Formats: sequence, structure tokens, C-alpha cells
Amino acid sequence: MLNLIFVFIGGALGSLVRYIVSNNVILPFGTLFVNIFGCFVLGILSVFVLKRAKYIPQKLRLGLTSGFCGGVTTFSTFSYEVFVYIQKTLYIEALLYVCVSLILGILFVYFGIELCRLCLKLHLDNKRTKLRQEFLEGE
Amino acid sequence: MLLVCFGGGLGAVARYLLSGVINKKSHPWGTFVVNVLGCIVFGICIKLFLLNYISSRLKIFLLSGFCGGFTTFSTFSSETAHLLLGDKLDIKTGLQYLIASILIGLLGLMIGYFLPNVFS
Repeated sequence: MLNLIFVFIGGALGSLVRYIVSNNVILPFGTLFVNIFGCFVLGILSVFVLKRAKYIPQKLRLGLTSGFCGGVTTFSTFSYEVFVYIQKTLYIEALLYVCVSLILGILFVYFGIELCRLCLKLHLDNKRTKLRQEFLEGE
Repeated sequence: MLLVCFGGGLGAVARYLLSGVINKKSHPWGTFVVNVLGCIVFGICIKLFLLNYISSRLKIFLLSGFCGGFTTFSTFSSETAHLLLGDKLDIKTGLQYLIASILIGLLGLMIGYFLPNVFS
């Protein structure tokens, strides 16, 4: 039950962010932008599984991944926008939009993962050096 | 805004429950089912809105809120990335999943979009 509450809150916040961003006139590709943003965040969060799960509480992680990332990104609006391009017989634009969304989406998941791994590694290296120094000073 | 929040929260919970059940049996097709279902509902709702059957408030609740929260692009991308590039390397399933999601999602949307025509 608590899991569902976390997902609900995450989904509500994510949807709100998506609604505000995609209604923003400054960004012509609102849906594209939120989708890629969500992919990047999900990539970062997906590092915290298995051995690394201890860094983020499991319920919070669920709220952020299934809730927030799922809520901030959307597949239905994406499909609808493709459909609108097709209706206007803008076939090349439709294809381009699909390809750009897919490639950037996958790429940003990957960026998120790599960035997070790098940060974690730096963090752990730092910690290790500090511990070693303390140990040596203790001697 | 409150409508978006509420719809999005409900959508996310529905997605979590449904995709959880299906993903247990056949990963990653739970997300696929959710996305296609969401597209069908989106198609129906936007058509009903264009035909003036539903108010713009209800539209915001259903489309920006529920459908937006229910369907997900991030999980879809992440699963595709893991299948095509990453730890769960399975290029065949990855490509099937990718192409099926895009095409059947679009098809679902069109079915939803043209469904109200049949009844009116």
C-alpha cells in the first residue's frame, strides 16, 4: 500500500512538471524535452539496484522511477504528435520525430547511467583515500 | 493543475500495478501493453474533445493527467537501451519491442481516434 502512495505522489509530481513544461511556449518540442529529461533521470536512478541499492531507500526509488520518471514522460502524447504529423501528410517530419525521440531517449538513458557510475566511482575513491589516510595517521 | 496531479498519480498507480503483473510473466511487454492501452484511450478522448463531448477540464484530467501518467517513455527507452546495448543484451527482443511499441502504439491511437466515428 505504501508503495502505491509513493508511486501516486511521484506520478502526480511528474505529470505536473510535464504539464507545465509542455505548455511552455519557449520550448517548441515540449514532449520531446520532457521525454528525454525523464530518460536521463531514469538512467541515473537505474544504477541504484542490486549491490548499490543501499544508497537510496527502496520506496523512494520506486516513487522516483515508476512514479516521477513514468509520470514526467509520456508515450501517448508522443504517438499523438506523430499521428498529427501524419494527418498533415508531413511524413518526413513524422519519421524524423520518431527517430530523434528514440535515439535521444536511449542515448540519454545511457548518459545517465555512465554519469552516475562515474560520480559513484569518484565518491568511493575519495572515501577510500580518506580512510587510508586516517589509518596511516593512526599508525 | 490539481487535475493534472490527480490524473497523473492515478495513471502512475494503474501503470505500476498492471505492468508489474505482466512484466513478471514476460518482460518487457508489460510496458508495451500499458503504452498501447494508453494510446487507445488517448485517441478516444482527444476525438471526444474535438467533437465537443467533453469539457477542456476533463480533457486536461484525462489526457495530460491520466494518459500522460499512465504511459511512459522513460521505461520504454530504458528497457530498449538495456536490451540493445546493455546488461540484458537481447537484440532480437529489443528490436521487436522497439518497433512493436512505435507501430502498435500509433495503430492503437488511430483505432481510438476513429472509434467514436463508428458510434456517431
